Amino acid sequence: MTDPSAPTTLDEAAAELVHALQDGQQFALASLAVLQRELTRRLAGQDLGADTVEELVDQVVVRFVQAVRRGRPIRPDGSGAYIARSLRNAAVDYHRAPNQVLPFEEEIYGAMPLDDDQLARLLAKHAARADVLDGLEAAVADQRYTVVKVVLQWLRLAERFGEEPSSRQVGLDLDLSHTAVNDALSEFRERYLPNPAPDP
Amino acid sequence: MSNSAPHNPSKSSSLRSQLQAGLERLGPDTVQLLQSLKEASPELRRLALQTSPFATRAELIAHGLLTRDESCEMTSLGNAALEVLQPLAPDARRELAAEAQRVLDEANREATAGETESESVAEAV
Repeated sequence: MTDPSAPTTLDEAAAELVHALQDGQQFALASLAVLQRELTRRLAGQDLGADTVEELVDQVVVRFVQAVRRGRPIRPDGSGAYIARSLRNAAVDYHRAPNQVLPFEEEIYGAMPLDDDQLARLLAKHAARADVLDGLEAAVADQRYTVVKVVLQWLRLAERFGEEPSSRQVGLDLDLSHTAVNDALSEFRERYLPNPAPDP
Repeated sequence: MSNSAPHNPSKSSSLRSQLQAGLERLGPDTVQLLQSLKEASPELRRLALQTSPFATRAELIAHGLLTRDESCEMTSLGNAALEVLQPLAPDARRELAAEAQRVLDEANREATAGETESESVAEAV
């Protein structure tokens, strides 16, 4: 049975996705499904293969979601137009130079949001995405689950607000004292992330 | 000769315990994401994972459920997790839809209140 409140158009889906993300929800699957369908339809007849269409649509949607999630003040009622424009630009760029990485459109989305590597560097100056993933895998293997939970919540809040969250904020979300949060973060940085080389 | 690999009880039991341990340790949002992805197409599944926060992807990767690269494919353990998880219950789906509607209404109310306030200020000026 179809949910009568589910979005059906590109504008509705984009607006609902923006509302959901700005409200701190992790995902809005029904909106994503409509966006994917409607954007794919818009590229039909453009002489692009199915794989290319899927790749372009995915890249545009990922960029849009990252921009909203990482604090761009995108108005829900204009968001369908934003994403449609971004897709048009992506298709034009692709025709000009296939297989190039799409440029980030600052004129549409404003300043580039933090990517995974930048989030990792917020957690520890010398860390990159791969270091954080290695560290988390090692902490899971060591069954240091509180450390893992703290780091993940820290990253969630950092991504949402674009800056380092306070340990008090992380603690409130996990029902832990800020001291426990600080201890867990220190353990992760010291034990599970590569240490910077000492100054000569 | 059969092409299927010989059954290895200790390997499948180790996979099962790894899966159980992983699922028990995932946060509720991540479990809910997996539940909702259970019935999604592979394309939508990939998009939902690619657009999920870094923390969610990192959590799934750390528990061996998701590949590390940008394609965001589920690993065999991740696919097994999707199989054992129950799909999102209709009640939970309705709750999510109601929550989305509440957020939408609230945003509309705030927008209307903002406009009324601006009008009042303009009139006062």
